[in-house]
Amino acid sequence: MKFILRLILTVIVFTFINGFILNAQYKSPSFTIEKIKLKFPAFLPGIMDDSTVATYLNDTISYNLNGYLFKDKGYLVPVANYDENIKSTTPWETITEMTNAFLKKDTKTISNLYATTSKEKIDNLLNGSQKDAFLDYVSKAKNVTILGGIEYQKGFMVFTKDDTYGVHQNYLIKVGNQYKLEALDDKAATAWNIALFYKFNPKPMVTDIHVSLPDSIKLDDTVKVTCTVPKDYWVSVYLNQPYGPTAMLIQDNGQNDLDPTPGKVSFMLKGISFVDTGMKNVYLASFNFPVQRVSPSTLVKSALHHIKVK
Amino acid sequence: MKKIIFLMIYSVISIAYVSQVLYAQSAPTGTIPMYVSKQNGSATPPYSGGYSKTTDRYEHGNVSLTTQGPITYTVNPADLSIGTNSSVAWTGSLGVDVAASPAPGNSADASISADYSVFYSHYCGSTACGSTSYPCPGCAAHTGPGFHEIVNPTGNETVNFIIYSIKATIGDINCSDSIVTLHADVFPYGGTLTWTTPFGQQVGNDVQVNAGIIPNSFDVSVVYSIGGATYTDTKHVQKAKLIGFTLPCCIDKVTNVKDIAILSFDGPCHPTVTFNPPTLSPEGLGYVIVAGADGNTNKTVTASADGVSLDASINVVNPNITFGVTPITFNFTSWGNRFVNCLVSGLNGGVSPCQPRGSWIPRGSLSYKSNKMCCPTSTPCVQTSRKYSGSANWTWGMTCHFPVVGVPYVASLDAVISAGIDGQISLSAQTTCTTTRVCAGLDVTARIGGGVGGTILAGAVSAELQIQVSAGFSGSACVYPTLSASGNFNVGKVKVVGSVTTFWGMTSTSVEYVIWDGYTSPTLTYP
Repeated sequence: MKFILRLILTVIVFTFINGFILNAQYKSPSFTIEKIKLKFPAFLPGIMDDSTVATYLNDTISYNLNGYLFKDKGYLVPVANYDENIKSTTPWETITEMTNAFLKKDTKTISNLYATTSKEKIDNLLNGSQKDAFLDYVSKAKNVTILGGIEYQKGFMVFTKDDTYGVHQNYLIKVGNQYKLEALDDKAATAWNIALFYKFNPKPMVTDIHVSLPDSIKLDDTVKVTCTVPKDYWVSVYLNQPYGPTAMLIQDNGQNDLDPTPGKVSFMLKGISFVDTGMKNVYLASFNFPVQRVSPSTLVKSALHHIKVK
Repeated sequence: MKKIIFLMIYSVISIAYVSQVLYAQSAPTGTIPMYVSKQNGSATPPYSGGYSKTTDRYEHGNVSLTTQGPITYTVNPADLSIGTNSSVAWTGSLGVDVAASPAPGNSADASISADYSVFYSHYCGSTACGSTSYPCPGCAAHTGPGFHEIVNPTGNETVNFIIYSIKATIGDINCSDSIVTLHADVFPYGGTLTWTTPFGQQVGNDVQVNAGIIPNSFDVSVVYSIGGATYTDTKHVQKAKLIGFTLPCCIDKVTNVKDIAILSFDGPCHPTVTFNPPTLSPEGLGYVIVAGADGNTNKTVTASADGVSLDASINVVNPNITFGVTPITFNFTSWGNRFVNCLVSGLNGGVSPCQPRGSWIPRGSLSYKSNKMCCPTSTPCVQTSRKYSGSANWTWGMTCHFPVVGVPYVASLDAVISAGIDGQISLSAQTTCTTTRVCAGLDVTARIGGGVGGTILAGAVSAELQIQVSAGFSGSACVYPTLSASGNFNVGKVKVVGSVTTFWGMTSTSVEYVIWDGYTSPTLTYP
């Protein structure tokens, strides 16, 4: 009798504690819509024309949208045992529930997180030949972080990032008082462009990169150029004129870099690249992403160097 | 009455003023031409005529005639006045005053003028009409009562003439081979020339007569007749001597020497000239064509006439002998390198994971054959002609792999772009004496395109993206006077177009963005 009472008491206490812990740990951030301004370089790789929604000025694309962007690194989605009865009363809640369902390969919960209009599609995936591949993939997403979201088309687009797969877009629609996941055939460019912004997290251009460039070069010769850049940054080289195409792209410790030292970039510059002889301009600037197209307003005088081509 | 007086005057000087259409040299309209020969006194026959007049009790008048220029007239009776109730019959004539006429080859204006004053009765109506009017109960002019008045018109009538003092002068008598051309300068035009020559009588001007063997000298005479006047001229003709003979610098086809000979004589009546050889032919050069033979030889020709012989030389060129065949080669490798560098730089910032194949060196059978040609106006006149023919082509391609980083959901995707160039040069031209350059178009087709495809991350991301880009090439190659070529290429905007799906198709995004703005090369030159 004592043993049974102790057992019952242990179960009750354990359940209570777990429930307490669960209820104490899981607290979805509040969901508010506010006016947000988003500005980033219009020359991010992959940027699509979005002139009906965004404005452009001097290589900067600007969005004025309704939504919410988390500060700093975003909201890290907690993963723990939680109530399987989904609430999904906010987009953040839905994403949290989705992340946990993916982690546990909980097909039922995953299916219920989707709106009825997408039910057939997700159920086909969860019951079809690609089920295992899908579940295996989604369960490996680590440290899923909610970056923010915007009102988008007929619903709400949430941008997430994880350490395994990078940036992901999650489209939700409001059904009653719940936010449900929804399939989307997106013809617009806005979500794609914002996803690129989150992928590259562009930092300001760096021009003070201690370029070591020879005074002259022969047309049929090749010379070595060295620069000092922030770690893992890219160096874009433009010849003769301060706008694209890029003559060369070098990444610190990556593409075209001859110097393995982090923060040191060394590459070979061909004289024939200048086409003919004379005093020529060379623009070198550093970005934290590969840049191929940029207009004169971006490449300022501080990026300009001269070389005599013989 | 006035009209009657006028007709009277006119008939006195009346004229066969018609239509024999005596050609007056520049005779003004309404002016009557007459001709005179000061050489022999012949002239246009005088004009003559007559007129009779009977006056009534009122009619009377008088006329006085004057002349200007070399004409003369007679009127009988000399008195041209007439009283009332009178009857007079006049006769008269008008002709050229030979003595007063101008020198042969000239003309002079002449005129005859009549001043008149006549009186006559004129019916003026049923009432009185002036101080001189009188009643007339009836006359031929009216029926019943009426009034007449006496009127007195006065005035002048003039007839104009132009008097031509004719002349004919025999010009140079040209002889060429056996043909003698008879020419005379005449004044005025319009008459008839009648020639008397050792080769028969001829009529007309610039008459050509076949004289057979032209004598060393002979006489010709001509009579020019017009409007009743005649003029004669004679000339002694001396056959000329051959004094010069030259030929053009060159010929390149069968040619009669006579057609190209440049002959000089000391007079217009040329003797018949014979040539040895009479014909020049490049085919008759008579040597075997060997490597290095240049198809040109120098020939001497002799021109002979009446014991005079002169020599001249000419280059005879055979344009059909080829004395050299030269292959033509181009090498556009430097252009290819520029194209590759451009693509590699523009697409992936200088990384070169590209596999080129083929060559930018055209292969084929371009060549030219060298022949000689005759350019008479050039120095030297024997020049080298080049006959260009053949064609050459080249095919080159390249496949590049490069990373496409502009997809949000993956670090990068592998893109493949293939570029291909098919080029051809064809030549078919031959230089002439005036050719300054021979060029041909570079017929180049550029193909470029690629894609990004595949499913990655076990299907979590699927991309069906095309690389859309256009490329073009234009240029020309010249082979004469020197080998050269120029061209440029352009690569259009490079776009990524297609769709990317995530989560096994749960989300799909239509994609279109530019990864490179393209490039137009500066003019590429060869060599």
